Amino acid sequence: MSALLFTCAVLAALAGCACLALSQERHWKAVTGTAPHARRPLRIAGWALLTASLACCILCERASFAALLWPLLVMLAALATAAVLTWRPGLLHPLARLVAPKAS
Amino acid sequence: MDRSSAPLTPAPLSLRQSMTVLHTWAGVAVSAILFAMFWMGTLSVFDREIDRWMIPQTRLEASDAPVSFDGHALPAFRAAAPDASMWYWQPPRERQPFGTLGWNDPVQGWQTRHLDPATGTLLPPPESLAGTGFIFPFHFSFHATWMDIGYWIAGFAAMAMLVLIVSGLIIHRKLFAEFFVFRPQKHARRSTLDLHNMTSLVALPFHVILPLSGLYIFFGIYLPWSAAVPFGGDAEAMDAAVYGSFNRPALSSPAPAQASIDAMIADAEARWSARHGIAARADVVMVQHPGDAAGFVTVRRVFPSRQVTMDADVITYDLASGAVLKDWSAGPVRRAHGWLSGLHFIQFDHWPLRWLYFLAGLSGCAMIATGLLFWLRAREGRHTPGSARFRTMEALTIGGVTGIIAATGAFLVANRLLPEGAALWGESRAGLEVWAFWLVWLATFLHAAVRRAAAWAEQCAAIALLAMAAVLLNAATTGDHVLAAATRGQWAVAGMDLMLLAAAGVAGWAMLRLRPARVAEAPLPDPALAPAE
Amino acid sequence: MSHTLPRILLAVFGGYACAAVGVAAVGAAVPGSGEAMLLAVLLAFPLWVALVIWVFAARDVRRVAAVMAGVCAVSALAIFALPAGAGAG
Repeated sequence: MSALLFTCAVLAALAGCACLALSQERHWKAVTGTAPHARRPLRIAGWALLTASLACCILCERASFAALLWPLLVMLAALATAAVLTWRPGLLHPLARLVAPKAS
Repeated sequence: MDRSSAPLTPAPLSLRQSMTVLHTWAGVAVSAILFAMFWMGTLSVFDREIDRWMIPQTRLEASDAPVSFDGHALPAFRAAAPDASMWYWQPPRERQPFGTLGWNDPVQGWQTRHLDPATGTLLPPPESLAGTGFIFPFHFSFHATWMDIGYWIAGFAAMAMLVLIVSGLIIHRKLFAEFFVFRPQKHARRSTLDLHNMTSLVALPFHVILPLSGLYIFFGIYLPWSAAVPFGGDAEAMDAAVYGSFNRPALSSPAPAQASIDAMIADAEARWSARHGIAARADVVMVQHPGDAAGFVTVRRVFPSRQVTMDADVITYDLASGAVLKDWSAGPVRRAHGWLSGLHFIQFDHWPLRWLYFLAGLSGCAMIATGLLFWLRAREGRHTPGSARFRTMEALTIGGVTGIIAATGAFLVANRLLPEGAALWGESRAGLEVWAFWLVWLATFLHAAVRRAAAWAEQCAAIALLAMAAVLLNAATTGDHVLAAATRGQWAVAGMDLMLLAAAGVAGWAMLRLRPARVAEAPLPDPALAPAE
Repeated sequence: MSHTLPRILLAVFGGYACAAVGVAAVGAAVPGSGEAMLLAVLLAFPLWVALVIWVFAARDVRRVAAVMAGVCAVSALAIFALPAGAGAG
């Protein structure tokens, strides 16, 4: 199993969940304190990153393992994102600024 | 409202309301059982590692020494089990650095011994059931084997789990809106519900597929008559068609010769490798009626190391001549069943997945525990707080959650405290460890009945103390503290100690959060009626 | 809820009956092979879950009971009519 592809799968899942979270009004407000911005691009980016994560899983594993690995990676990413949003929302600030530089 | 003006028939419930009733009833009925299954199931992810920790003699270094059936297992069987009607052999593999011999002794019943590949000799009998012998079977049968009642309870709980998930989704409706929401700073009931929703949603595929695949694994127990219908009601024929088994009675006359079993294993592996295009290993060898003219050898490929699908290849050989009696490989539907079963057993070699399963299992435990907690707080408002009914529900909840965890800690501590060869009132050392588990679990229910809400924090404290005691006792009795174990390459032992320390930390943190004062009197959010905040 | 108990009984025992007889009927239709029977098993459990949801969601539980009775009756007929099933009965 390729360690690099696996790492990419993990990172893409994390980034995807972060984008999807930021696309929601309550979480955007919690991170930046401003009105929500760029919701659709964030949502598209989020789903695209999760799909990229799935692609990495399929590339570095047999299909039958990828089918198990990807949903669990998304679980891990979602839990990590929720934890960050609960206790350290500022960590997502750079991502918010990347998407909407003028807003924050 | 007086009786004369009350409606004759109650207003019909909306879908959400009826699902709330279903979710509550099913949850009340099975949540404690489900928590036990999820807890033991999550631990079973690392059952072989728990074996290493609890049975120090098996902390062997991985050996490349070749282990052959004819060279190692056969002499051992002939010496230890000459009268057995069945010999069972598992060669060493990644998470099991020794071979396993099993046989049914006519007097003493099923016996298990381990073979050290480096020396080629048998280890002393294991004196503990440990992970694979206690924790794993508890997960699917609660060790209640009379009339398979434990299996039926597990099956009922699994069906209830699926119903709980579907009804929960209908109640919650918005899958996405609260996906990442956890507000611990709010009052306890809101944050409990947040956590319950989140742990259900983030691992939703896991929570659906694991109970379902568990039902598939035991379909022969749940639908025995139906499964045998295509075979005219012949259960053995069903077994032969679905699991590739073979059977013939002994002839009670000695075998004229005995073919090389290593050659049979090699032949099976060659056939499977050619058939599937992947290097295949045999991992279970059974010799039935050894020494008899009608003896036969079944070579199985139960848990491939790089495939999910399990138990899809079986070849049976004649013991005397080595001729192939039956060469069975699973058809497409059976392979699908094998894939679903394999994703439940997770015996393949994939450490990242193993850890993710562990995390998913823990999220399931959190889901069930928070569901129970939320329901308990809801009942607290509706019953008089001192009522016997509420106190019973409270005691069952506390004992069912922190109680079983504490009992597991006691199981581990007893394992380190009991001396070798310990026996009491007819119970072996392994049996005494199990007694420790059941007695402590019972005690936690009684403790919860007496101490009520304070029992949560007190049992968390007990869990933390037991976990730390286990780590200290492991170091004291075996010398394999974390650094020593890691240096020796005993990652299972080091990992177990680290997990115990982490568990102690979490239990300590939980003890602080579960103090009764934290349960505020804020209004209870009714998930069925109020929109999400 | 006064009408919860009949629903629970219907969901648990009625559902089990439908699953058991349904799988048996498929098995009787394709004798000698475990594949069809296994496919029925794989479908039976999710369908049973759907049935349980329906039992509790439906306004009139008698309609659900009638459907389940029908499934059982048709399946039972199939089992005793088909040659493989006759041996199992």
